[in-house]
Amino acid sequence: MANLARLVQYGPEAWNLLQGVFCVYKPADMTVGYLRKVIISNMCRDLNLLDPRPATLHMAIEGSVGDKLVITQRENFADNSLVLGPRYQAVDFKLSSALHLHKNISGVCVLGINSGSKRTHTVREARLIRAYTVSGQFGRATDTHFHDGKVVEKSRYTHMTRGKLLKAIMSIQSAHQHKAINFLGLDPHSQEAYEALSSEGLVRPARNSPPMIYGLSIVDFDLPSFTLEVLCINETCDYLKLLIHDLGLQLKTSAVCTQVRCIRHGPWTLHHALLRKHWSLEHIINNIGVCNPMAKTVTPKVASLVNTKNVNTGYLSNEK
Amino acid sequence: FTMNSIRTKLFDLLISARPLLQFTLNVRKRNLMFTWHSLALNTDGSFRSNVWKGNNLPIQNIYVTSHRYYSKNTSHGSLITPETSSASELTMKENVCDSVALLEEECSFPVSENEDWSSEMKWIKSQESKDVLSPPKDLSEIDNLSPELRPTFNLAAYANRSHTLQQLIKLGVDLSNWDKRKHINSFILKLDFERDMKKYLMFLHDVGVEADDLGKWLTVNPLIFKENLENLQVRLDYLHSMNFSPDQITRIISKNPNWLLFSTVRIDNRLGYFQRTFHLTGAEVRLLATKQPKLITMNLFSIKRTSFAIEEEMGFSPSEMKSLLLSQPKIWRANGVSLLRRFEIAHNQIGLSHSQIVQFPQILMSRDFRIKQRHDYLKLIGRDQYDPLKPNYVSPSALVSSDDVEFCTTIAKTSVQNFNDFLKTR
Repeated sequence: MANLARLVQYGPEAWNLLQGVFCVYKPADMTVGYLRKVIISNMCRDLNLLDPRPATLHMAIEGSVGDKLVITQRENFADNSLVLGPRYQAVDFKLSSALHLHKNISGVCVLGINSGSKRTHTVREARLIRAYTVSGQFGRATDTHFHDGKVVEKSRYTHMTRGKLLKAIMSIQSAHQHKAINFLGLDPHSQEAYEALSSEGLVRPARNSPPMIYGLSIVDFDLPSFTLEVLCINETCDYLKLLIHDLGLQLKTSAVCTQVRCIRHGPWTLHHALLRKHWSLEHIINNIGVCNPMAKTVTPKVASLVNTKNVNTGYLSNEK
Repeated sequence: FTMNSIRTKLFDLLISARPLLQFTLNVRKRNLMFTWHSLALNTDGSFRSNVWKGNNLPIQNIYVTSHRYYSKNTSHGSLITPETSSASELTMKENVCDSVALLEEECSFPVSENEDWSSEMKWIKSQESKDVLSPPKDLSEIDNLSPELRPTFNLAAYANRSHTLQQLIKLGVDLSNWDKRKHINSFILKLDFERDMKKYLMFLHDVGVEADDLGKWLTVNPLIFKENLENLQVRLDYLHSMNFSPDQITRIISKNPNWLLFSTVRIDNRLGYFQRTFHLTGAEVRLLATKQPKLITMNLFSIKRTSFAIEEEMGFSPSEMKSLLLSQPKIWRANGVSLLRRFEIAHNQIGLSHSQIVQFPQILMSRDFRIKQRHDYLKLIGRDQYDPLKPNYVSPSALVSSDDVEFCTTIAKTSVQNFNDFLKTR
């Protein structure tokens, strides 16, 4: 199906298109609040450059009551943007994020503008699986578990091998899988548990649960640094940094997290995310055209989120 | 809530304010304030604001009471005693904006040029004794009447009725900008374009400010209207005496509207400060003032703090600092924290020496993430070579100048897609 391109020059038309969910690549040391401000100010700047709505006219009644009274239309000085201010201002916009990313996390950030801010709420409730690339470095540990913290511990890491790391990772993953079953309240050796974990899909806790890891693998291993790919839900930045720190402890060395990058948020990937230089009206509207339809499918038709209260009706899921 | 108390409150307001706002093109030097109370047929007698404007509507359905307040904007005026009306209630806001509603209209009643009000009083008394419901003798009396202007949060409410504001809008002044600042509007509304503002515009035109730029100029500096024209001329003469060429003076005044608010003594002190601290010659001071006029009138503490940062924290020598000042004075206008961050990236992470940074000062004026991005990319592909003596030299200015397409094709010699993919891995 070919997508036809349309040239929009009229401000209000562009405004009407600027509704929905879009995807942005958040830089590493930027808070989501600052990101919002930058995007909104860029939108204002671009919208104010387009053609504004036609100015209204001022009906003036001139003359004298004794003579004739003439009704004329004059230029309405009160409807001038020099008097009222720019047509589009920062207060006009609603911009919300699906997940409030920490300052240290870079990567895919799903945002909703104007009417799309309701959609971001749906996205958050859907508890989609996110994929992260977490990089760490052996040899030191800091108080904040991140590379810019105060170094608390230093240790040798030359005994580290890829195999040892893999072993540690697998143990973490299986521990999380057991936890997933425990969420159902089922006996791990029962038939029901088997069915729940069958190839049809993943079990996701419906309520706010602790972070659950569904997949862990090594992407890069280059002593002292290494990179892991983590698939998880309900995670926080601190949890991922702690994961690296705990890995170091488990492997009898110490590790610090150097980078946390979100590469996937449900259906939205790095491919959809807009770089900072592309945070302008044209690119964002095009992005909405691509990303907004995906937001309609985040809530699955079949209940895949397990309600931890009704464990007897624990159901199979459709993976998203 | 008697009529008397309203009257006294109104009277006080009018005495204290000095408003001279004009609203129509039929100018006659007379300032009056009216308040009409109109009682529509079916109301319970509460005050209804008038339906018609300063210019006239045919008289229909308007029942008029005799609650008319007249006053003059001089030391004292007398107010007529209104007849008490049981039904109507006056709602007056305490703090009406500084400009009280005024009309300059064709007046059919007598005007006395000296301070006594005798002829007006006579006329007022004659009006009072008239029957309210009988039609007026001279219909043009009604032309003079209009509802009072109400307080407003922006100037749009007055724009259609004020010749002054309309002229300013035609010049291109951003009135919404003035709304955001304190006390500007209340000052401006007291002025008249023809009487007060025109002479300043002539002055600026004579200095050399372009007509297209006048709007922006006044947006930045509306307080010029407070200054005495002689003082402004003295300040210009000072610049002439300091051997600034006319072109330089034009540029200074155009680029920095606030320059003219500074007295000669202050400007002299500022220029002297720059000359002493940075060891500049006369010609260099003039160059600096012309290149970045806003620097001269900037907050002195910020300048000192930035100079300290450059000399002590970054480690430039005094001669290097002087050369930075003359080639890129904008550095002193930048935020100190960001400046230090950029320097840290340029010197520590990229490895540029002090002399190299002095040679390419634009690096300190570009946002830090841009320099870092480009440098890291060049490092990844092995092209981060900033030493001119070695082969494959990349000029540090390439880190900041030109857009990404040019950077990728000429310097990095890769595709832009490659660069974008790299940016998504950081």
